[in-house]
Amino acid sequence: MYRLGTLLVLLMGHGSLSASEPFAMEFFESHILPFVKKHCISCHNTEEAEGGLDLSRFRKVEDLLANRKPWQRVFRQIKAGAMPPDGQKRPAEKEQQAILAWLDQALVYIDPKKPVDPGRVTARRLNRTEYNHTIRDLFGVSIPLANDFPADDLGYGFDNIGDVLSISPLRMEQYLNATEKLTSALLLKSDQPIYDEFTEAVFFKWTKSRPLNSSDRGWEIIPENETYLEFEFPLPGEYELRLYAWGIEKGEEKERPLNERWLETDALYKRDPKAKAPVEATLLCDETVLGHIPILPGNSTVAFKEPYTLRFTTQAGVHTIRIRHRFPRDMSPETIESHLKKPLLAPRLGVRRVAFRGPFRFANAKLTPAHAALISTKPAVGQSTAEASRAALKTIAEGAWRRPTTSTELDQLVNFVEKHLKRGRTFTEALELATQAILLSPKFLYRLELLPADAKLGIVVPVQDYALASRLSYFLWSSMPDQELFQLAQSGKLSDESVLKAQVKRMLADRRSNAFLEGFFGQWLGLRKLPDLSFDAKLYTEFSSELREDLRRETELFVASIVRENRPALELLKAEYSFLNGRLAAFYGIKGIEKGADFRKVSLEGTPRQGILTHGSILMLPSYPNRTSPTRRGNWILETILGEDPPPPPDNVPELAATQAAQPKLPLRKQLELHRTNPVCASCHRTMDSIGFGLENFDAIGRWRDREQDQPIDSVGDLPSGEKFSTPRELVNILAKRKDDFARHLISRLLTYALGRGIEYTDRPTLDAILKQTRTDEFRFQDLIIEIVLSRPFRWQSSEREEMR
Amino acid sequence: MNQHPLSRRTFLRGTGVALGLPLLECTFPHGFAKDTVTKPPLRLGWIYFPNGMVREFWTPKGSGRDFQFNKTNASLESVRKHVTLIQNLAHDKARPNGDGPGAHAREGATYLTGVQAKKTGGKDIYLGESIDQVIAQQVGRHTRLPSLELGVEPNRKEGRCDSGYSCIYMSNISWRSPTQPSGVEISPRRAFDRLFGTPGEEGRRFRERAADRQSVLDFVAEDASSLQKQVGTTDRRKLAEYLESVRAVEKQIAQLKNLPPVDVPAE
Repeated sequence: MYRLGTLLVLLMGHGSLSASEPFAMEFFESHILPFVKKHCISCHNTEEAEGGLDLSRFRKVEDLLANRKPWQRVFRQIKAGAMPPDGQKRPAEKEQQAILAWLDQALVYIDPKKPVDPGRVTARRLNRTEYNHTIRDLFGVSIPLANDFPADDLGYGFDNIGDVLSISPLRMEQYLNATEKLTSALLLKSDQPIYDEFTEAVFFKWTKSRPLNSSDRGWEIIPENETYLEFEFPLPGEYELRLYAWGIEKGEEKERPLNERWLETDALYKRDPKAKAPVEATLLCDETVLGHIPILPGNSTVAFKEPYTLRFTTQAGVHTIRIRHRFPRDMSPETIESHLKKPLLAPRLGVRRVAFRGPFRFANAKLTPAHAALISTKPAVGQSTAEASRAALKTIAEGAWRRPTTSTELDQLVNFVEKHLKRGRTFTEALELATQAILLSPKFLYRLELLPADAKLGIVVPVQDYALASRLSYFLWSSMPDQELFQLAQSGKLSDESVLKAQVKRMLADRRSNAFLEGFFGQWLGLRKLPDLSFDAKLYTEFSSELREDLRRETELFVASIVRENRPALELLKAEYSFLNGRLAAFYGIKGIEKGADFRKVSLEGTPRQGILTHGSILMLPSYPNRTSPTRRGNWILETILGEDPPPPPDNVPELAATQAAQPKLPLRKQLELHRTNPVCASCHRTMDSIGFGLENFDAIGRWRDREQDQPIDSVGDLPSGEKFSTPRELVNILAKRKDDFARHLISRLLTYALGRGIEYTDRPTLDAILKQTRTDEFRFQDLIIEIVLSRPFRWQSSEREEMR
Repeated sequence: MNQHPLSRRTFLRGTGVALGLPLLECTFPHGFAKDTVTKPPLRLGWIYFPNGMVREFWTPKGSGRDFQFNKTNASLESVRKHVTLIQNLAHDKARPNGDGPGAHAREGATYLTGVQAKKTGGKDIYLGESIDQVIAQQVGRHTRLPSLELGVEPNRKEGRCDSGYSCIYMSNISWRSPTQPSGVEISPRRAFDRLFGTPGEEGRRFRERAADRQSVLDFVAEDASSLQKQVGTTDRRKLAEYLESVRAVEKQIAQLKNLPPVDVPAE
């Protein structure tokens, strides 16, 4: 019966979550109460309460609606046939069915006249991403401290669910280590530079194509060319760049490999400080010129002995360092012109290695208010230590706790500093310890949404402005609010609908929203799992980690454009374009894009591909290392895209392997058909396998194929609804017709991610409203996000009710 | 040299075999807490190989003292006199008992708790305290850490765990309370540092900082206690978990302060 029921749902789309059917309140008194009296009450009453269940308290239907948890148990027990217990009189089958049908409705009944229950979000501990990003934005550093923490547990498919994010002594210890490491770095306490790294030049990339004469002994840069690489600087401040380079006066030896020339000349070369530099190196950080350095003649080995150095100041984070060829300043324009005509014969810039050390001091780097408060607060003349520390602590704590501090909180922090001053610590040492305390406090580690002191139990209150700022920033940035959000919260304007809308647009345009793209799509679609996938190298010769990375990049760029350009969410399924580089275009068999090309938007018209369901990344996810799995692909689409939950296979079904062993010659499709002869399996597999087989033209790594081994691929199929398809594109378009199922599931996933809690039946009106509100414009992505931000569960919360068991 | 009875590599090999804490008796340098402990405390280890073995190569043949190891466990031959094999320990609480599919999550959850995991995707996680934690609470004071939870791979990276069970049941076998898993350390380097302390100069400074750490932890513990009055029941539970962890770390620091520094050979 159960499985037949699932089949019907598959045929009709979701019935269970749409608007409530008429609900007969009076049934409670006419049927439920007599049933309870006859079959249950003798054990489940106030005196005995078997299994902790007292049903005598429920006298009116309102009692049940106000406290449904016990009735969930009742429902399950009756349905499983476990209650009434053996030996007791059993209710008539028909009566029992009627009772179950009514309870099924009652458990999810929502009174349309009452305001929607916004639910309650459990205090969310910052997950690892959020911790890293918050520290980054609070102190302007790029030190991924949380990467050492134990991994975060997942709930409802995401790593930001308050209920499952716990703290253990192990994690507490790591927090302690991390804060000590952080404040020590912020104060530059160590004698050793925090950052001390080098990279061989051969790992640098080329802006133009790679020139000749480059080997593992270094790059030789010809005129008008440059080499570059990204570096991540942990702190703002002054760093030393060390360039291991040499100048090459005449470039004519182009046809001979560097290694060979090195062998014959190495012994001869010493750097001659009186020699004339044939070439200069221009060094850039992003687009800023750091300086020009004349480079003396030499070779790769000489260069290795003695670097050219340059000091520069940068902000923390990822920066591109470029090394550009430059002719000497005193070279005449005529000479330069003649060199440019034959660039391969012109003087070259050889680069062996690039190293960085630092920071040595903060110099004129820009520091965040919290960082500046920690390192440069000193009691002014005539100012007490308490006054000085109070101002600094206010700045640090209000940033870290993402809300204004109370005077009691500040008093406690100031006293803490005073205590350590009395013990003989310096002012900065005491302030450092207080900063550690601020960062170890639950007010930093958790997102606590404290209710106003007078809030009563069971009432519904708006999320306070500062908490709302954090809800927004952790939803879209996985980080703390910025100055603008804080100011809007302070002025009380943030809860204004037009302000919220404008903020969502602004925040999505900000680079920090990459965290949303990665966090939401990485987990909803499972893209985070891609780096762990590998395929049989003998069967899939084209597979490489580079291909896998390219495919991931394709999907990332694609979803980013849907979100940032506010495109209809349905384009996820139906887009006639994607983002490909030269390698991927070749892999997909799309012509007209040169091999070395970077990622760009490419039309898919006239190709067999359309939307994410035909992206190599998505096709890989449910595949086995050595073959496709039509069942898993079909199941993945039903679950992830349409929000259906096919029941797992029953225990007693033989694996496909058993069928296969019996009939090894049959194509996979026939084998699965044989496997499905069991009618119990057939009801679900019918849909799953049909969808999966419709995509069989794509092999396990997503490459197009017309045949598998010597059998032609048969991608013709139909769905239980009667719709027929004969190509992957036709299948995708049939699936995309189920707009509402797709959009409802997407909204429910987005709401889960935004709130950090599971979706309850009480959220149904919210889902319905957002669906209706965004449908007319084909569910544009920013519209969906805005509606979620404006929704009641996002902006309101119910104070906690003590629930009866 | 004689102060360094055990190299890091040896330790890691030990862990690879079986987290075998008893193997590590020689890790205590001379003079280790001689006054308080006369012989190394007895250790207990639990290892979990989830979700089945290839039975035909796993199940030993015979019984009593004369059993034969099978292919998969043959490497235990050299220590066979210390090995007792027990069969037929299927646990009833790992069965569905009306909860439907999800055996992978359920089995790991039941292993050390003996409790039927509450089937939930995240809200109202509920299991039970695990046997290792019960024992650690009784005898954990004899060792530097009351217990050590190690894992070999990171948690699942995406959501679909097991048929409606939260991934939390799959990634933890050790539970401090019905709602709080112990978490696992997967980095051998960090596990080593936890056990033996950070070596060298850095370690010396860490020990010097013990008093500072305690002062900071005291402060935040007080902070958390006063917050408890301002939040609802669920958040209060979260804060209790936090407080308990703070106290456990405070205890560890106090213990650490009384132990002599461990010299570790440089890498």
